[in-house]
Amino acid sequence: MVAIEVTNRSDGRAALTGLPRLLVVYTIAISVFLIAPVLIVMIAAFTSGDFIMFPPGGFSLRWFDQVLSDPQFIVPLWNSVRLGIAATIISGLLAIPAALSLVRGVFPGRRWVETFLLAPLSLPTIILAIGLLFFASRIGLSNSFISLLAGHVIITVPYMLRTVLGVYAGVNREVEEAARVLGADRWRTAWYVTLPIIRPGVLAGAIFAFLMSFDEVAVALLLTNSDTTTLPVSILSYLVYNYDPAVAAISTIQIVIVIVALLLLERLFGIRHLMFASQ
Amino acid sequence: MDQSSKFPVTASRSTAGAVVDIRALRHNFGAVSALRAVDLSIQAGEFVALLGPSGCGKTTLLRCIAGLVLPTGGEILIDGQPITHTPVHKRDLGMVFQSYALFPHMTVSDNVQFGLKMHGVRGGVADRRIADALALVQMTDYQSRYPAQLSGGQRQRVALARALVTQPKALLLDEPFGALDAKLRESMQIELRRLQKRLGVTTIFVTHDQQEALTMADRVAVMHDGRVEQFDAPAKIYNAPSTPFVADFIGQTNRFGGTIQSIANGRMNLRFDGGEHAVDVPAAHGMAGGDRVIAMVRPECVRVGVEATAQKDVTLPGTITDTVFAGEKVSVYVQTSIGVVVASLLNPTRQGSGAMAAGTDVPVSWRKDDLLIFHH
Ligand SMILES: Nc1ncnc2c1ncn2[C@@H]1O[C@H](COP(=O)(O)OP(=O)(O)O)[C@@H](O)[C@H]1O
Ligand SMILES: [Mg+2]
Repeated sequence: MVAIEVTNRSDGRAALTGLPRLLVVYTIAISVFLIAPVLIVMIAAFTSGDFIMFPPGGFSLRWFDQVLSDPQFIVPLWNSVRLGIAATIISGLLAIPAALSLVRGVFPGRRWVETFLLAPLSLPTIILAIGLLFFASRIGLSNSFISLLAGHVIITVPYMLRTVLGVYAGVNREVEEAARVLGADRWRTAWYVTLPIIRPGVLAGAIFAFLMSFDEVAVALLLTNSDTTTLPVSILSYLVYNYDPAVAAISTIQIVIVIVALLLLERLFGIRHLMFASQ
Repeated sequence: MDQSSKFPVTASRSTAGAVVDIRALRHNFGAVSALRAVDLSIQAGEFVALLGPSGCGKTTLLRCIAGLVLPTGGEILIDGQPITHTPVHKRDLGMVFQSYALFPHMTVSDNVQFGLKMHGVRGGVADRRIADALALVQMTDYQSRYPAQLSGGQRQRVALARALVTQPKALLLDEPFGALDAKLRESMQIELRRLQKRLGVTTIFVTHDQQEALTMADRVAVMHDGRVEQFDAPAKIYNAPSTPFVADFIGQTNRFGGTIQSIANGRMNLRFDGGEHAVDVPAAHGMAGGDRVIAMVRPECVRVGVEATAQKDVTLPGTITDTVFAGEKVSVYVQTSIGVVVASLLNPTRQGSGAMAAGTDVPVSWRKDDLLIFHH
């Protein structure tokens, strides 16, 4: 999937030069429409006033100070980060082997397994949350971190699976066969050849998975308790009674975490390997 | 270890190459029979080409030898040891794929190193062998590049180095030069043959290009519809094809129907369809009077015009219908009573342009020794 996008992207850029002016204006308008609310929230967080307003009344970092020293936000923030990382790792451990055997394997019911694993994509998360709540309380795990994590894994697996499937389906199987002829058994072929080649798919999937978990509300709302509450849930409940720039500040922090994570991954693994995987 | 040899890739190996025996090998893909009882005995150090039209089972045969396809039946032996059920990674073979199949995430030297690493060869020994293998294919200067940064020919060289560095018992190549342009292809052919002779590695080379097979191989196995039709030296394949398919597939042929009128004293009398022309030829094995046969003659054996009258074995009057110029050769199409006869003439300027114009009446002839006769 990623590999295909890369090739298309260069074609798309070439086509851009010939775009009619109207389309350019339209594109800019849509971009502004999408980004402006986020920017406004981020700018409003730097106000020195007591209320959210735009443009902000004066500049200060007081709301960041307050948010960062308030356990009401800091504990959920760490919960969300931990939950996101754990959900990403587990869904990777589930989705990567699944993708490998779905692409290369020949076994009955292959299509059904794939459909089953991707099904949560088309399921409203609130339905999933309610189901999980009943199930978890029936087996005595309601409001535990485990059931919350399970919920997030169900939600994130399809994202991981889709991106890995997309990349792996485009990988020439002769490359893996070459490794085997050269003396690598199936495990070493997977470790030294397959996994490095599909790394762009894994990373893209991991980013998606983390982001999906990081701002997931429905499951977290029903399955967290005061110890395990996540950032989106705490922002929501804070908003019920308050309307001050603290919310803008914590949202800004959340956005910055996401952007930094994206940039880091791109910097560390992204560009070079995306390039070579798409040859 | 190897002080004297410039190419220790070979020298550290005691035996030059392995003997590969294929016995009654069959393979079905569902209802499709890709291989129907293939037998091949390949000698140590031999260069064998598997030649045949697309879909005849060449790749399947090669993949069975590599272990990438488990055959439905039959046996494969390397140096006398049955390996039919040996896993791919334990067969000690080298393989070059048409798609090159280089590891895209590894540099050239890491690609070459991979097989050594899997075989537990490390350190200085490994470094030396990688350097030797890269020198062998003249890729030393490119060792830190990635495959994406190489041209097609360079990738193919790396693939070759990667396959040879482990000193495989046999080298398998599946249409390795199929994606290269004609010039490069020719130089790679020469280079591979030279390399193979020096290393003495048993080599099985798949191609659908007869020129490639005939010029490179010690022996050519012509395959058709899952079978080996003939396994012989290139000259034998061309001059003495054992089936009409081989005669048709290799080179160009004129093909006529005919009947054996009589057989006596080790000679038989063949009458061509559509004419009164008959010819006495040495009796072929298993023929009887009244048998329907296919008679073939190569275009380069056919003489036209003035030259034709000098040859007496088979001479037919005819009319030129077409002349096709193809560089050093010209194909002349002559309508005769037994059908259209194509003659391939060298050095056409000698004939004079007017002599070969369409519509000209000319005799055509050939020696009866040049006739290939098969049961219909
Ligand atoms: N994986 C496969 N599944 C089904 N049929 C196949 C498969 N691979 C090859 N075949 C069939 O087997 C026959 C031989 O194929 P192949 O060995 O690839 O021929 P070649 O290499 O000579 O072109 C063909 O009819 C082809 O369609
Ligand atoms: Mg083939």
